[in-house]
Parts: sequence; structure tokens; C-alpha cells
Amino acid sequence: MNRVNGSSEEPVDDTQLDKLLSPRDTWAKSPELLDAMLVRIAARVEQEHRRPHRRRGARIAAVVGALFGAGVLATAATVYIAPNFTPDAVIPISYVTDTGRSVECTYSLAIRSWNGTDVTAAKEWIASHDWTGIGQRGYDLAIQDPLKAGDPDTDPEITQETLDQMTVSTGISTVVVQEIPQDYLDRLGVGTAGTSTCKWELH
Amino acid sequence: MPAQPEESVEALQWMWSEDTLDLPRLIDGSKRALFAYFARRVGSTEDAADLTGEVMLTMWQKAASMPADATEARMWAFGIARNVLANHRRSIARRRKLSERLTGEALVSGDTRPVRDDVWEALRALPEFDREVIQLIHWDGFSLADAARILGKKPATVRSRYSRARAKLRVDLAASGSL
Repeated sequence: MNRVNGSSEEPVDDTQLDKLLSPRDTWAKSPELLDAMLVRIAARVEQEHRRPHRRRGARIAAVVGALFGAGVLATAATVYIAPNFTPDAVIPISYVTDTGRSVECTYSLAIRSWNGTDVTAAKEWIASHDWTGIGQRGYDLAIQDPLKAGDPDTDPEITQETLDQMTVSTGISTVVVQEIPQDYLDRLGVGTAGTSTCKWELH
Repeated sequence: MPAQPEESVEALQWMWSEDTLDLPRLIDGSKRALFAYFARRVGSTEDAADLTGEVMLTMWQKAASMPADATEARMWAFGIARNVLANHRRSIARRRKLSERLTGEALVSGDTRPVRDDVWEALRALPEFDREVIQLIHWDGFSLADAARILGKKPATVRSRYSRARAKLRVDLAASGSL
């Protein structure tokens, strides 16, 4: 047994100390239950992450990714450019802006699974779904809450023109994803991918 | 359905990709350790579950910055956990201040402490950084080098603080007649 710094106290030896410092976890007595709970948490978190957000901070990260590609996507987590994108559906987007301008473009959408989950039904659903009116609904949603330069949670380096594009892109992306029955997407390992020819004109 | 348009590469996006395949695996492989990290420190399994979920969500949000190397990725996950815990503690501190009813109350009740009460008290008597080093190594199973990375300090600094903390613990526990 060693003495520490000349102390007259008899110190605890290393083995004893290691034992004393080892945690006794009462919650670890049922590892199966614990794991089941943590799997549920992980699944809920993944769903939460995939769900469209209305918070501006989240909106900005997601939509900057949609608009500007990989260079900006470092902040957009799971979004990145794929050179061989094959959509399951090409959704016609049309809307009339608040200044009366008619806009027509497309939003190509795919359902993807990274863990082998069968997404055939989801793919068929988006391919056969009648998407009429989705563009105007997305625009109408976007225009209710447009991003503005100077907002506290808006990056000051982003121009108003870009924020306008992000506003429309977010609104339309949100309603497109919300249109898909939740059961198709609320599964572990399943997500959506998209691309668009839209320029995201706000006015 | 119209024909497939010319795709703008700049606008092309994926929400799932080969690059993100490791994140679910990292979460799956780390979930129990992350829960343990919180449960041993906050004393409430309910809070620990919430905080674990918060870390997982942050991991998804920051997936693009996840290191490719498995060990580095684990360090990254625990770095997030450390920040989440710090935020949680600040939140508790604010609530305490507001309510003025928890003055002097232990953060963790005795029956949920991960170590004996006397050891818990000896740990509490350590400087915060030293205590964190001890906890990362003895509770979470990290090496000194890994702990240094999580704490953002030089390995030599962590080694020195670890030795100092152990020395103090030996003396304190012996002096209190714990053995």
C-alpha cells in the first residue's frame, strides 16, 4: 500500500479505489427493458428529425440544403447531393404568387430506405397520388410566415432574396412530405429524397 | 404525370445516403452507454432517457459532421452528451434560482447514486474537472486519451489531473474511515 504525499493516513489502495469508483447501476438490472426503451427513443428521435419543422432554425438548415447543394449542406445533416437520383414521382408544382405571377415547375420525389425496409407501397402511393393543388398549398403556407433578414434566428449573411427562396422551398417541401401518409414514413430507416426545377419565386 | 425534367444537380438532395449509414449504427451501438452517462450523473432515469433522446436528435442534426472513424465518432457522440448535460445542469440551476426551494438539496438522491454515499461525497469534493475525468474513466470506461479528447484537453493535462484526483480520493476515503 502506498502513502500519498507523506500523509499519515493509510490511503486506499488502487484496487480498492477502483472498486469503490465502479458504478452500481440499479437501472441496469433489466437490460432487455432498458434496450427496448432506448430503441423506442431512437425511433422517436429519428421520426422527429424527419418530420418537417416549423422552427426557423431547422427550416433554414434544411432549405439551404435543398437550394444550394453540398457546399452549404454541412449544416443540413442528412441532406446531400446524389448524382444518380431517380425519382419515384415527378410532382407538378404550380402556384400564383401574391403579385399575380404564375409559376410552374416540378418537384421530383423518392422514398428511400437505408436498412432494407420495404418501401414499395410508399413508392407506389406517391407515384399514383393526385398532387393537384400541392404547389399553391405549399406557397400559401410559406407566405404566412416568410423569413426576413434581421430575424434573430436568421443568419445575417443570407440575403433577403435567398430567404425568399428558402421560404417558398420550405413551404412546398413541407406540404409535399405532409401529404404522404404518416405510416409510410414513420418507420426506422425510411426517408424521402427530392429535387426540383423550381426557382422558388416568392413574389 | 409529366416526363422527368432536367434535374438541377445543385438542387438535388438526399435525406438518406451511403454517407449517413453509420449514424443509425452509431446510435444503436452507443445508446446504452449514453443513457448510462446521464443516469449516473443526473440520478433520474426519466431525465436520463430524455437527455439520451436529445443527444440522438443532435447527432441526426449534426450528422454531416460525424467523423468517419468509429472511435472518433464515439468521442463526437460523447462530446455532444457532455454539452447536453451542461445545458441540463444550467437549466436545473435556473429553476432552482427561480423557485428558491431547492437550496442545499442534493442534486441526486441517495438511492440513485451510482456509488456509495461516502464515495459520492468524496467525488463531490473534487474540483469539477477532476471529477469529470474520474467519471469518464471509471463510469464510462474511457481511456485517459479518450477522456482528454472529450474534454478538449491535452492528454498530459488529463493524466496529471487524474493522478491528483485519485490521490485525493485515496486520502479522503481513508480519512473518513470508509475502509
